[in-house]
Amino acid sequence: MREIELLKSDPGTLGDFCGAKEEKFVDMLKSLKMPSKEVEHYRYFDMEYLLSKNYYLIDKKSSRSAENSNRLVFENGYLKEAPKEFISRSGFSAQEHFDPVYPLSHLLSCERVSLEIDRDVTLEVSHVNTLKGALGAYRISLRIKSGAKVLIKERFEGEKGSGSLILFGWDVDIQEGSLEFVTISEPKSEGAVFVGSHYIRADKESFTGYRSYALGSGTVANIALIELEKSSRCEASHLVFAMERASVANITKIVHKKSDAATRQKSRHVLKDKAQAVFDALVRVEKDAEGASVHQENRTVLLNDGAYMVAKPQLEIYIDELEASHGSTTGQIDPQELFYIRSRGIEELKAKKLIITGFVNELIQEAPKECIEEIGVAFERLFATE
Amino acid sequence: MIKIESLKAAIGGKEILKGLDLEIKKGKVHAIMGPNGAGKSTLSKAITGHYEVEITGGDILYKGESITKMEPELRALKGIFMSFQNPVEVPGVTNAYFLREALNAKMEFEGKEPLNPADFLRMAREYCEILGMDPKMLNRSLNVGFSGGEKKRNEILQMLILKPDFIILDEIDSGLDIDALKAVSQGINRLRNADRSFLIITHYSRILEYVKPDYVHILKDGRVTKTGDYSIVKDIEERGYSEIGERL
Repeated sequence: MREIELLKSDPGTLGDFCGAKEEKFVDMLKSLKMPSKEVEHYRYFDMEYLLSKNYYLIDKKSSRSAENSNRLVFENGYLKEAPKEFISRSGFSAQEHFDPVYPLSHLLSCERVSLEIDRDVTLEVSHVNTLKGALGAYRISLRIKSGAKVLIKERFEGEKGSGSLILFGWDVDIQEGSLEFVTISEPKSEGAVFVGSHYIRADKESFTGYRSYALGSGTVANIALIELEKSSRCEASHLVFAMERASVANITKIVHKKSDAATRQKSRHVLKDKAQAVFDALVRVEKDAEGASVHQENRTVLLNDGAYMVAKPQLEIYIDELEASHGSTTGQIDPQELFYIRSRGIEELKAKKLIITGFVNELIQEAPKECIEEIGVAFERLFATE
Repeated sequence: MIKIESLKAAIGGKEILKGLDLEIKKGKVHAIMGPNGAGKSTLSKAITGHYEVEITGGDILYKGESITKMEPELRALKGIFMSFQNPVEVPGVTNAYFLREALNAKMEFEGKEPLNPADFLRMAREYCEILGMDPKMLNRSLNVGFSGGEKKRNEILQMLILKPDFIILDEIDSGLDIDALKAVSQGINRLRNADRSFLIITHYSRILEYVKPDYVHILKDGRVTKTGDYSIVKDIEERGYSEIGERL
C-alpha cells in the first residue's frame, strides 16, 4: 500500500498508481477538475473533505484469484467472487460524464471486471471493506444483451473500515434489455465511505430501474449518468432514512438522447438529528428527443430542526413539446395530520410512524421483497430514541 | 357527560373563549350555534386537546375527570370524538388501515382482543353501505382526493366504527348536498342512545331538522349567551344572531 494525497495529485499522474491510465479519463478529469466545493452538489456533500484525507491506496493485485460464484463480491478493493460464465474481455465506459468522481474512480481503479449477460438473471453484489484508512477503487462493466432482464442487488459492508473511502462504479450498456439496479446501503457513522459513480446507457426500447436505498448514520453517495435512447424508459427512485451525522447524496443526470423516452424519478427523504442529504437531479431532454415524458419529484420530511436537506430537481429541455412535471417539498411532519391521527386514539409516536409510513409507502412498494425487512429495521431506528 | 366551567382559551395569544360554561348531559344531543368568530371551533378544539389551543382558565370535566392537560389520544381512547370541519389528508395510509389501527388502539385500551382484518372489513363495508359510501374508498389513502361530502361521510364512518361516548360534530353539514346530509344524519341517529352524548356545532338549522337536538346553545364572543330547546333555532332563523343575545 502506498500513501496518496489526492487533492495534491495531478490528473495526469493518477492513473500511474494502478496502471489504469487512460487518456480519456485524464482529459475528462482535467476538464471537470477535481471534486471541490466549486461543484454545487459538493458544497453540501463534502467530497473535497473526503479526498483531502490521507489514504493508503490499495494497489493492483498481481494475480487474479476470484472464485467462481453466482455472486459478485468485492472485498477490500479486490474482486473476490464472480460468476465466470458472464466474464467478458471487453469493457465499456462513458465518453463523457458530468461528475469528476467518475473519471477519478476509473483512473484509480486497481480492479476491473467486465460482464456480459444475455439471459434473465439476478446478480447479488457485495462490497465489503474491513481496511482502515484505505482508498479503494474498482469498476464493473456490464453489457446486457438480447433483451435479457437483469436484476442487480447491491449491498455494502463497511462498518469495520473506518476512515476508508471506496470509489467504485458501474458502466452498463443495456442493449434492448432491462436492468433493475437496486443499491442498498446502511452506512455507519464510523464505517467506510462508499461513493458509487455510474454510467448507464439504455439502448432503444430498453428499461432502466435505478433504485437506491440509503438507510443509516454514515456517509454514502450515488452518482449516476443515465442516457436514454429511443423509446427507452427510466424509473429512478431514492429512499433515504438518515440519522445522527449521516451525509447522503443522490446525484443524477438523466439524458433523453432520442425520441419517445420516458423518465419517472421520485425520492423520499426522512432525516433526523443532524443528518443531511443532497438530491441533485437533472433531466436533460435533447433536441432530438421529441415525445419525451419526464416526471420528477422529491419530498423530504425533517424530523427535527438540526436535519438539513438540499433538493435540486431540474429539467433542462431543448424541445418545444413534451409532458413534464417536477417539484420538491421539504418540511416537518404536518401538525394537523399528527393531531388528526392522535384524535382517533393513536398515540403520538405511532401516529408519526403512520404518517412517515404513508410518506414513503410508494417507494417501499417498489422495493424488492428482500429489502422490506431492512427498510423496516431502519425505519424503527429512526424512531428508536423518541 | 361533560362539564365545562368558566373556560378561557386562547389561540395564538388571542383569547377566544372568555369564561364559557356548558354542561352536556348523558344521552342528550346539544347543538351550539353562533356567528362566525364566536368560538365554536375553539371550543371543540379545547375539548379534544388541539395543539393550537392554550387553556388559560377554567376546566373541562369529562365523566368527572379534568381533561385539560390530557393528551389528545387519551381523550379519544376515553371516548371523546370530533368529526373535523376540514378532515386532513394523509397520503399513503389507506383508510382501512387507519381505521383498523384506531379501532385496535381503542380495543387494546379497553382490554379487548383486536378485531381480525376480515371481521373489521366486514363491519366497515356494512357501515359504508349505510352511509352510501363506495367500499372502494376503504382502500384509498385517508381522505386523499375525497370530495367535501366524501370526507364528511368518512368522518361519520370513523364515528360508527369507534362508537365513542361523546361526539362533537364540527360543522358536519357544511358542503353537503341533501342526499349526503340525509346519509350523514342517518349515521348520527344510528348512534343515538341513552349513554351517548352529542355536541353539534353548526351555523345553520338544516342538520338540526334531521338530528333533533335536546338543547340548543347560542355562543357569542366566547361565552354561551342563551340556552334553550329547538325553538331557539326558529328564533335565529327569523331574527339572526345579533338580536338573540340575552344571557339566561
